Amino acid sequence: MIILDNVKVSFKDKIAVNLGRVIEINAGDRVGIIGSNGAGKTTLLKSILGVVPHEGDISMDIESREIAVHMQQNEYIETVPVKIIMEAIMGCKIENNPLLMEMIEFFDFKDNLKKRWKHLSGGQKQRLTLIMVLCKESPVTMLDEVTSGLDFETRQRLMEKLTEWYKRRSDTTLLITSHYYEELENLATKILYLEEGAVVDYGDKEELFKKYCGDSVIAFKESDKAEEIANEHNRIYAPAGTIAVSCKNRDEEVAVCSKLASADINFRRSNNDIEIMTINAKMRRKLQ
Amino acid sequence: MNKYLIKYEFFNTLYNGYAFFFGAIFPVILLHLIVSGALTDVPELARKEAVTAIFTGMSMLVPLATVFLSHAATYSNELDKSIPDRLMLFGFSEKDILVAKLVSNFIFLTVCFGIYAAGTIPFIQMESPTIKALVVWIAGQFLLAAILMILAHGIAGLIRKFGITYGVVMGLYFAMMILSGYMGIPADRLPKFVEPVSDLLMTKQLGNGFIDLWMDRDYNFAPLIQSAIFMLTVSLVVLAASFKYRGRKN
Repeated sequence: MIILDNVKVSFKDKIAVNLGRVIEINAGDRVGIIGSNGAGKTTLLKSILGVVPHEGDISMDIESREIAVHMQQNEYIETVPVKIIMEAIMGCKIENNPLLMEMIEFFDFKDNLKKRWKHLSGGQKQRLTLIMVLCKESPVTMLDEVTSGLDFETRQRLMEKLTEWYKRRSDTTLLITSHYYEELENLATKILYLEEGAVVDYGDKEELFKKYCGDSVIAFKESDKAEEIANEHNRIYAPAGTIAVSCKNRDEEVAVCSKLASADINFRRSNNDIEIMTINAKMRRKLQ
Repeated sequence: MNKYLIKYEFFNTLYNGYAFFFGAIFPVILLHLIVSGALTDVPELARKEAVTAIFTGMSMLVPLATVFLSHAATYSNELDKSIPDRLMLFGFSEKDILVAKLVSNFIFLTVCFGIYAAGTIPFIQMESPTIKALVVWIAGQFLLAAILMILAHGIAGLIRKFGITYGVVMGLYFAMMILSGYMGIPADRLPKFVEPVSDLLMTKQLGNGFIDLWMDRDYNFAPLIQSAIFMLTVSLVVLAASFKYRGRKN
C-alpha cells in the first residue's frame, strides 16, 4: 500500500504538487494519473521515488529504491552495446536469466542486442527500458508517459504488449501517467486526476465515470440535427467538435441511439471514456 | 560487486577514444620525442638518470588522462543526460556506481600503464629501480589515480554540465602539469611563491625527487605522504559536497 498524505512539492516559489488530501493506493491497484501538462504528474511520481524533496508524508510497504520505474527520459551511454547495458542493469548474463530471455522474446527485441544505444529507434529505446523495468518484478511499478514520442502504430503495439503483460501480473501495483486516455482505458482500474498540482478526484475508474457521466455516454459529431437531439437529453461537456449525452439507464441509451440512427448520425457509446469523464470533472470543479 | 556494471563502465571508458590516445599512446610518443630530441646536451653519464626522470615524469600523464580527464568528461556527459539518475532508478546507489567506475578505471589504467611500459622500456636506456622504489611508485600511481578519480567525480557531480566540467578539469590538469614541472619549467625553477602549492601535489612528488628513491639514494617520504593526504582530503571534500548538494533526497 502507498499512502500519500497531503504531499506538497515546491520549486522555489512555484507549487508543483499540493494534493491537499490523503490518497491511498492499495496493493494491486492500477492507477492512471492524468492531467494536462504541468499538472504535477511526473513530479508526484518523483516525490514517491524520493528524487525531489516534499512536504507531507509518503508511506509505502517497500523502499523507494525497490520501485520499478520507467521515466520519460531513459538514457544510457550511447556507445555501449545494448547487451552490455542490459547485463549491467540486471546484474547477470542474459542467457542466465529466463525471465529476461522471455521478455526479450515477448517484446521482439532479440535483433537489437548487438546494436549500440545510439543506433536504436525511439520505440526500441522505450522497449529496452521497459524490458528491464518489468524484469525487476517489483511489487510497485511506475510508467511515466511510456509511449511519448512514439508513432501511433508503435504506441498501439507497445500498449497491447503492456496490457497483455499486466493481465498475468494481477498483484503488481501500477502507477501510469499518459496523455493518451485510451491507453489508460485498458490498463487502469483507478484514476487520479490532477490539475495545477491539486487532486480533482481520485477513485475507481467506473465509479468516477458514473459520478460525472452517468451509466453511459453517447458521443457524436456536432451538427444542427445532433444539437436538437442532444438538447432533448442530458447533455454533458465533451471535447471540441463533439457532443456528449449522458444516459441514466439502458432505456435512455436505446432511445438516444435510435434517434441518432434515424437521423443518420454516427455515434460512439462508452461506459469508461476517461477523456469525457475528466472534462466533466474539471468543469464541475470550476463551477463549484 | 556487480561485475557486469564494471564491464559496462569499462566499455564506456574504452569507447571514449580520447582517453586511450592521451592516456596510453600520447605519453609514449612524447617520451620518445623528448628522449631523442631534448637530451642531446646531457652528458652520457647522466643520460640514463635523465631518461629515468623523464619516464617517471611522463607517466603522470597516464592517470591524469585516463582517469582525471576521462572520468570527468564521461561522467559529466552522463550527468548532462541524466544517465546516473536512470541507473539509480534501477536501484543502484551512488556508491555502487562510483565503485564500478573506480574498478573499471583501475583496469583501464593498468592496461594503459602496460602499453606505456611496453612502448617505452624496451626502447630506452634507463636506470633499474629498486624493488622498494618500484612498489612505492606503482602504489603511488594507483593511489594518485584513485584520488584524481574522486576529485573528477566530485567536480562533475557538482557542475553536472559537460562543457563547464571539461573546462575546469582541463584548467586543473594544466595547473598540475605546470606546478609539477612537466610543462617546460622544471619544478625547482618555478617561482618561489608557487612552491608551497607545488609541493602539495602528488604529481610533483611522484615524478621529480622520486628518482632518488628509484636509484636507492636518500629519499624523504614526508612530502609524498603530505601531498597524498592533502589531495585526498580536498578530493573527499569535493565529493562529499557533490553528494550533499546533488544527491538523492531520501
